[in-house]
Amino acid sequence: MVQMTEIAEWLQKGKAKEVVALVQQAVEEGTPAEIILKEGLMAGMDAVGKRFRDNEIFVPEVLMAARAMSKGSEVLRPLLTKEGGVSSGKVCIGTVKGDLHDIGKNLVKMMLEGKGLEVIDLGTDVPAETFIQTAIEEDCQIICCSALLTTTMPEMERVIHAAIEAGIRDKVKIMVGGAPVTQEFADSIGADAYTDDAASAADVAVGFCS
Amino acid sequence: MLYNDHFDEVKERMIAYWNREAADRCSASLTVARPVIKDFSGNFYFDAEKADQMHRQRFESYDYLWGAIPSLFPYFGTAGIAEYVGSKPEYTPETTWFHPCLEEPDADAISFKCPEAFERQKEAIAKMLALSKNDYAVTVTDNCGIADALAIMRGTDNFLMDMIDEEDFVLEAMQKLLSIYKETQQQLFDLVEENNEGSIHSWMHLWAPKRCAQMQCDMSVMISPDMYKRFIVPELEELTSFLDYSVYHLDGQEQIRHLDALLSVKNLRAIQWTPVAGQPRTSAFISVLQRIQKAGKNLVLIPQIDEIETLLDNLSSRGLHLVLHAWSREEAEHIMETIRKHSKDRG
Repeated sequence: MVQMTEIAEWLQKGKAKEVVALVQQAVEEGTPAEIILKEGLMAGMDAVGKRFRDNEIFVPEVLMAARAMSKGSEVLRPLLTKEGGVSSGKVCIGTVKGDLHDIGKNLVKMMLEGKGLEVIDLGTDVPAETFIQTAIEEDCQIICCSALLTTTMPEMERVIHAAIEAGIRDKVKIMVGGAPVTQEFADSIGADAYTDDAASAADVAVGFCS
Repeated sequence: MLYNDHFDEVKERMIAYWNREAADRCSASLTVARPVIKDFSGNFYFDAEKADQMHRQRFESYDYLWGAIPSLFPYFGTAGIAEYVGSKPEYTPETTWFHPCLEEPDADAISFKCPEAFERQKEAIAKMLALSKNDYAVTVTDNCGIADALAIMRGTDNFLMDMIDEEDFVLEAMQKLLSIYKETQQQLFDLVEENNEGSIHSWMHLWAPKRCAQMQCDMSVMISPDMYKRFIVPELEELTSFLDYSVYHLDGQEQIRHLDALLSVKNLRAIQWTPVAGQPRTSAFISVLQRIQKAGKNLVLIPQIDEIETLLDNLSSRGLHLVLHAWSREEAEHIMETIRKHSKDRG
């Protein structure tokens, strides 16, 4: 019988092949997909997030773990759809217009997915209107904006203004992050949350969706 | 030089800086805004006429005091070597970036396959040099960052995972890129040598009698100290053997975790500390800067004016170069007086 801790441990090591094999075996043994996802994959990503936050591991290790999570989730997806899924919220995420940096954004995306949230990745160089249009069309609870340049940070404020103009500001939480972004800046533009690392961003997002 | 009438003095000071000789004050470049600032904004990329016009406007807007060097920095994209091996560039009015070109971690697929991209850059620089008429300097372009270039080629996520999954590929690919860098960079150094009367780093206002260039690893903020030692230190060791005057662009406090490894690179001459937006200012890192000096490496700092006194009171003026800007003659006089007064040789 596959133990969920075993899946979580292999995931932390970033071993996609082993994770997929164990997930497959657990499914065949009759473990519910939701249990495998929550107690195996998501528990593993939680540990990864904590170790990343504590500077015990760095981005390459997180990417490897996220890849293993993604591969493991692929096995579960058809079953989860059948069982009704576990997604507890929907987020659209992107790097703001004029900015092409995506590592930070990708890390947050992985951490959000690791928490079971559904994430729509808008990519980089995303205009404010696209964030808003997606949030409306996809019924997102959260918009996450990333920027690595001081010159593109003002775009985050444009996203917030666009949300106000579209009449959805009270329906959607707007989170901001990126190397030059600070809590002070987030407060000054009226963002709902700022975090200085990807794992904390995911924790805050889960809080918004619960 | 039309825009700097004391270039011999600049060179003399810089030689003392590189040799870590005791002097009456630290090395410093000081640009001072004139009452009327002409418009020199925008990118010029390959347009030599526009580059010349913009830079003459710029040089006529400032005075170049002490070690300040009026120079044109041809910019075709950071880690531009990626283009020589197949990454397609995107030039926009605001910036430049490259598309990934290496789908699989296959070092055999890496070669100097786009010499025409390099030739185009050389032609543009040659034209810029001709138009400069030696009134100002024209420097080499920004091709530094071998690991950064490989990250561009593979896509950063893939490259970071390659560092765990495909170690041999990473090491072999970096060796290939290093060879291409050295081959092309030497040609660029040769191209500007006469105009530079040696070699100039533009925005750091550094002159050196022989090959001088910046090294960097922007993606190092994402990797562990062990990975830095395994993949980046060998790159730096090879580059510092090639360059006569090497400067490492240390970009932000996240890179401090690599400082011990960096200081172990024997031939590294200087470290340039970058105050990153959103992080504490240069003077908040005195102990780090002292460690660098204690390890026998030179420093290049770009502080704010009100930090100069603190920095000079805590650092040795020997092997210290400050890059400064004043908004008026009065401010410039104040800066020069502060530097004269507070510079102290602390070994």
